[in-house]
Amino acid sequence: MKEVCIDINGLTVAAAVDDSTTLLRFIRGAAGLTGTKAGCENGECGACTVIMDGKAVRSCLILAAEAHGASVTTVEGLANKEELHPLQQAFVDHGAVQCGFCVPGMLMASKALLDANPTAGPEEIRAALGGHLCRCGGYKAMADAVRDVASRKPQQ
Amino acid sequence: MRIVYEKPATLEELFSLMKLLPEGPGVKLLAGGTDLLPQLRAGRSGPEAKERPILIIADIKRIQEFNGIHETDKGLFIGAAETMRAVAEHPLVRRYQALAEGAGRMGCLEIQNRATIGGNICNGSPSADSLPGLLVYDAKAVIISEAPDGTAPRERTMPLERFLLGPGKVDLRPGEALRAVVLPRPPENSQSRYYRRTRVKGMDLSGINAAIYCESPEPKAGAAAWPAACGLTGFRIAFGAVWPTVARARMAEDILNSEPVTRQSFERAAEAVLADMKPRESSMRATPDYKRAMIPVLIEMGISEMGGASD
Repeated sequence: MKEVCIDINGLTVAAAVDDSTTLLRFIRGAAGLTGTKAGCENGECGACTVIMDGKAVRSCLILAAEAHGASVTTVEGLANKEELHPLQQAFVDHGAVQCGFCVPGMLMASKALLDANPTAGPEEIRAALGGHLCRCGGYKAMADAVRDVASRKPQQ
Repeated sequence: MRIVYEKPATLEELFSLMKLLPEGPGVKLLAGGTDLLPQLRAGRSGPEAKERPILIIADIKRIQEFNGIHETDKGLFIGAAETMRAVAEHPLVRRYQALAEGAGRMGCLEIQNRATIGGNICNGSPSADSLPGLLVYDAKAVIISEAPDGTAPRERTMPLERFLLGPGKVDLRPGEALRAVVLPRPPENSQSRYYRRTRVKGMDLSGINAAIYCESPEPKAGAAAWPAACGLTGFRIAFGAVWPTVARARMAEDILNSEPVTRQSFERAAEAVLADMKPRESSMRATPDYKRAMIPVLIEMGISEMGGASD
C-alpha cells in the first residue's frame, strides 16, 4: 500500500491505495469522481484523459503512486458552479454529445490544447482529438465545437 | 504477484533496488509506463517477474541522469526519460527532423506526453517510431550500471543499432539501464524525413516505417529535380518492421552513394532491400506483400521530397 496525495480540481485527496492502483481508479474510487470514464483501460480509447500538471494524459496508464503530489483536473473541474465551461457549452450547442462516454476525455484533451494554444486551428484540433475514440461516430461535431471556442475573440 | 512501486531519487538508490537476488523480488524499470502498465495488466511483465512473488516497479523519472536534452561535445544528449513529446518539440531536436517527426507520430498526444524515448527503444518493437530517425543519425546508446566498487557509476556506449537485438530484446545486462542516446551533430546541408504506414490515420502502430537521410552538396540553384539526377548524396536509410529490429538498409545506401542518384540506381537500391528483407509473416498490421510494395515507395518519397521533385 502507498499513501498517495493528489490535488484534484483544487482539493487534496489523500488515500492509502494498492501500489498497482491506476490514477484512473484513484480518481473514480478514492476521489469519488466518476466523470472520468474507464473505457478500454489500456491506453487506446482516450475516455480516461485528464489534465495532469498542465498536460493531457491517460489516467489508466499512470499509477496513482506516480501522480503523488501532482495537480489533476478532471471533467468535474471544468464548470464554474452552474455555468458550463465554454467547451462544454460548445459541445452542447454543436450536438457533440450522443451517448457521452467519450466526452469527458475529449473535453479534457480540448482544454489542454486551448490552454496551450487558445487559437488552435483545425489541424491542431484534429491532432489533439486524434487519439480519442467515439463509438457514436460524432467526431466532426466535437472538432467543430472546439474550433468554435478557438475562433472566438479572447475576452479581455 | 504483488507489485511494489518505488521512486528512487538517485542512481545509487536505483542500483540498490536493481541488485537482483535469485530468491528476491524482480525489478522492472518504469519510465512513461504507456507500455509497461498494459503489460502488467495483461500479466506480461517479462522474465524479471516470472515466478517471483514480488515485482518492484522502479520509477526512473526523477533521477537526474536520465533527464535532459542538451548539446555535448559528442553530439545531442537525449535522456532516456525524456518524453516523446519533448523530443518532438525540442528546438535542439529540430535539426534531426526524422527523429522529431517519428516522436511526434507515435501514439497520440496523451501518450506522447508520458511515453519516453528510452521506453520506446527498450521495448524493442520492430517498428518503434523513434528508432528509424535515431539510426539514420548514427545514435549511440549510453548504458549505465553500478561500479563494482560502489564508486562512480559505470557507463558503456555502443551504436544504438547494435543495442537492438531482436523483437522485445535489447542489449541490457542485469543491473544495467539505458541512460540516454547521443546523436552526433549532422552536417549543415543534411536533411531527413520520417514516413510510416498505418492501417488507420489515427492512433495506430506502424505497419512499416522508414527514415531517409541525405546531404545535398550545394544549394542547388537551377539544379535538376528528381526524377532527374538531383545531386543528393550521403544517403542513410532505416526501416522498421522489415527486419526483426529497426535497422539500416546499408545495401541500398551503398548503391545510392556509389554514383549519382538516378531512377536506375534508385530501383536497384530498392531491389537490394527487397532481396534482403525478413518481414514477419504473421504481422497483424501489414503483410509481407504490402511491405514489399511500400519499400520502393517510401525510399522514393524521401528522395523526391528532399531532392525538390518537379511535380
